[in-house]
Amino acid sequence: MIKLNKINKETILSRKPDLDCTELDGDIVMMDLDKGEYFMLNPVANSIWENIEKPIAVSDLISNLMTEYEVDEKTCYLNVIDFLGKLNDSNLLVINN
Amino acid sequence: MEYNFYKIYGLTIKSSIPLHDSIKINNPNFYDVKIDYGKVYSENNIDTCSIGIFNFSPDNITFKVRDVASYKISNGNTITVDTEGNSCFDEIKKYVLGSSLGMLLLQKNIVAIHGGAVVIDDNAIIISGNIGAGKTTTIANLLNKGYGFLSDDVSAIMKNNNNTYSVQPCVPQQRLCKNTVHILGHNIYDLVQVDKLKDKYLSPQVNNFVRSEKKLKAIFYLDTTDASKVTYEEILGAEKFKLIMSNIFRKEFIPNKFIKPPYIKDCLAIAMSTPIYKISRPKNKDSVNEIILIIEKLTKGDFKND
Repeated sequence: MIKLNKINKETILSRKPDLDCTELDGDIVMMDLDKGEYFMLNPVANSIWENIEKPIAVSDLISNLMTEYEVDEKTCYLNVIDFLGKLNDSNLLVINN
Repeated sequence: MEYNFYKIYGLTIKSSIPLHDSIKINNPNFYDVKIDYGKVYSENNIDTCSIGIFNFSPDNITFKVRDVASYKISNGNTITVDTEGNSCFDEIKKYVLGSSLGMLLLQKNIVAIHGGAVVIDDNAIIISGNIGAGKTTTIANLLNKGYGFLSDDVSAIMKNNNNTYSVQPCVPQQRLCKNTVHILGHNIYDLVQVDKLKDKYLSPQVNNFVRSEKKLKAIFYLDTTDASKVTYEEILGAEKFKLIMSNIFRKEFIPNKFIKPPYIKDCLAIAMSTPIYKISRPKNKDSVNEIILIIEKLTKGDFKND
């Protein structure tokens, strides 16, 4: 499948609903029950995951993370875009542009 | 055709292939699995996925061992064995008790971990680990200390009604390497050589066999390291789940889509409810006694790390 939606700061997105999530000592294991696939999130990834429960602009997501973690904007932006790209490749995002 | 009935992994099995006398049961009213000789044809349809010698389709798993037999495992309730020429009976049986039953557990969504299970203080612990890390030697030495035996190579984990998990008994026999045979004081000529390639011998009767399921208390994963002494650590978080998933019996041959959501959910629940420890031992040093002490301490203690 070709991904037409490239994610940038203006993109508004949310996580795919109906994923089965389980917490293990702060890490999250998510399961896509339809496909039988599973994904593991570390605490930082988990915090992004919680932030995108409802549709949010990527720029707002970055601001939220910068209040939570000591990180400069550029590093935060690059890491967030990279991670969201991975979620998108695994069909775990809903993009509402 | 003469059939016998057996209890393996908590399943009632009706088999025309003699499996193991000491786990025979009297004619039950029902059975879960039937094992029989028959024709096995290779399936080649659009839904078939093949990895190595294993072929997976929605209803059947087939595999062929050259000069021994072809095996078909169907719908979680039937194993068909198609022998070849003059194949040796012990060889035929080995793949029934090993890979065939292992794949049947997968079809039934019963989690099967590659590793043996021992009973300490009425609880089961699973000893898993890398090839050559010392699983068999560790289990053999625990048995020598009088602990109970549930399984040698595959630990079947079933959910209890109260959301705890239990390990089921397999067959009271152990495959040993030559070195372990000597350590345990067996005479090698009394044992059957079951794997010439890997130089494995079968210890045909394990004395401390436990015939009932036991609650799973901990999983130990053995590994080798370049360090000079034995160390251990508790595995935490998503790594626990990852470790369980990567130690599913024959995982390397199972296409991902044939591990079903209920199976993955059970792996996750087991990861949540079971402490998992990794024990690393020096590569070229006999350290089984230290490993046993660590296992005893962590199993009998209150699971605190030092």
